[in-house]
Amino acid sequence: MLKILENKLLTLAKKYKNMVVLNADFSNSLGLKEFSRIFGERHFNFGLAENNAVAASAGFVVRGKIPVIVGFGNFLAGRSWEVIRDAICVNNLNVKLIGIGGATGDGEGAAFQSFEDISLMRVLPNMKVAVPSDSVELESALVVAMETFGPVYLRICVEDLPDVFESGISFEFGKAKEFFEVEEKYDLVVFSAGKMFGRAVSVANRLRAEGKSVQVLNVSSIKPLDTKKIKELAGKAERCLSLEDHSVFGGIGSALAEAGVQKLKIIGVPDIFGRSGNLADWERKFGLDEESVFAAAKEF
Amino acid sequence: MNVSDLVKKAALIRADTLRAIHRARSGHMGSAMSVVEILTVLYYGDLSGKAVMRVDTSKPDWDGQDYFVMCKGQAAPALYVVLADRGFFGKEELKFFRQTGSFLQARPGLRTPGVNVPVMAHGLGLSAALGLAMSLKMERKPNRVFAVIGDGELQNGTFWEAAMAANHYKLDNLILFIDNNGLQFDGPVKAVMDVDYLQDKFESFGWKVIKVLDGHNFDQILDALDRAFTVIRHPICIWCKTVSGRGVGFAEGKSGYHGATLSDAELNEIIPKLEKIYAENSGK
Repeated sequence: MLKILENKLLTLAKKYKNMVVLNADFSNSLGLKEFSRIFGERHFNFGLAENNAVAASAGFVVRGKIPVIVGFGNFLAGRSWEVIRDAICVNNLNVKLIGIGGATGDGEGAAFQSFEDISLMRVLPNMKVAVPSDSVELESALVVAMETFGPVYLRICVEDLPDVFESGISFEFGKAKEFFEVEEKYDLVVFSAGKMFGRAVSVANRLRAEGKSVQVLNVSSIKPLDTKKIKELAGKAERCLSLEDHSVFGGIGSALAEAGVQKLKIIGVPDIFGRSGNLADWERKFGLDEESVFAAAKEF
Repeated sequence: MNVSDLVKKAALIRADTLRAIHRARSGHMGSAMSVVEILTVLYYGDLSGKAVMRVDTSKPDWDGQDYFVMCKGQAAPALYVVLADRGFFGKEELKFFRQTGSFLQARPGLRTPGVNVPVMAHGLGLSAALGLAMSLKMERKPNRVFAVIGDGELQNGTFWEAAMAANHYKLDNLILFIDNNGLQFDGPVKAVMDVDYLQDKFESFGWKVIKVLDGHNFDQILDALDRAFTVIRHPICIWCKTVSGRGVGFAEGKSGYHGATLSDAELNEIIPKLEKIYAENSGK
């Protein structure tokens, strides 16, 4: 998703002359090299100092700039959580945070993986949280984030995601969209967003092939949550399931439970940290690979 | 303003600040008193016939203004008194300091007229000043950013991240005052966590350091600013030795008064003394 991010930031920078990009020594690994080359004057590296980068954004805002801060979810949402709270959210500043969430790459291990960021960000008043489910939706979410006043946390993953929505999708805060045609009743509704959304659709297709009535709802706007649509679907469902590459505590599943969704099975990262190793192996260990999710859905 | 006018103004700011803290029954009296002269110079001082800090109360969003960042938010009532006296809002608002619904919160926020940069939490203020100074450099604007920080806050790591970046980006439009009153909430800074060798610390971070031996002496502060304005390609630190509770004789340098307010009797004792200073410097 990093190439999509970079290309879209380049387009947005042409439109928004007041956009500045801040980061903490990850411009090369997070796809900002080209941005830095073309918009050098509007790209600021703070070195390995996330807290300073986040707090400094409050100063840029005074001069009407829209700071976009790009970083790994764990350092941005985790290390700088209190700075985001006190500098940005308390004052409702127009700052955009883009965090790399979930398991990343093969080697870096727990420090560079973030399974807690959605939980940490959605608890903050004034903060909006988006987890786009494919590259088209990421592009759309970036546009919407820039058009929407106030703090936004946009969580993306490192890997390129296949376009799940064949006819494209436009992101909207507070709106969740069904993937399949609407029916009166469902055996199962799967709620998902981000990297896991495509997997939820694959699992749903397999269940549908077995004659089950299954719907998948894209809850990429995690805050504000489309509680109306969620409740409507939950009301039509025999069973509900949430799927996310985030801790089972505090993420999409928790948000659904807060919204009153019943008969809900939450599938996400269990109460453990990641480590270095092969991403696919880790997903199997977490029970997030397609086979595990399929088995869990059938069993449920 | 000449120096006696500044002395007079400082006495007025002290009295109104003490009243505001006393009325709220909470506040950091000692910390607010030590910064009074620094605030007075910034908001009322002149150098070579020009205002030290360019602000326009009729145009709070003026593009050409200089900016002030109050890192030491605990001294907010002193800033509020100055902003009210300069006319950003009515003095009657001071009655509502720390009250529900008031825009005069314990720490200045964006709802407070005259405040462009919100006070966040300890350790973050210099970063905000830094971002603002970087933005001005990017726009090639001559506006300056002034900030004032307490010495206890220098213990925070994020502050030094910002200090490092200020030199990296050669921010000669950033002037940081250190209100070095030597006290913090838990006691003397030296006892809690010594921040000593300030000159060496800042110089090794690439800052130009100007030391003011008496941070309550207007000539010394003005002289430091005069020199600060000639510095190029380095951020400037004006290190002011100050006294907690300055102007409130019985509270000066006393830890117990640093983060506290005054009793009715104490307030009644000190206000006439400040009024006397005001009267003595009138008409000079």
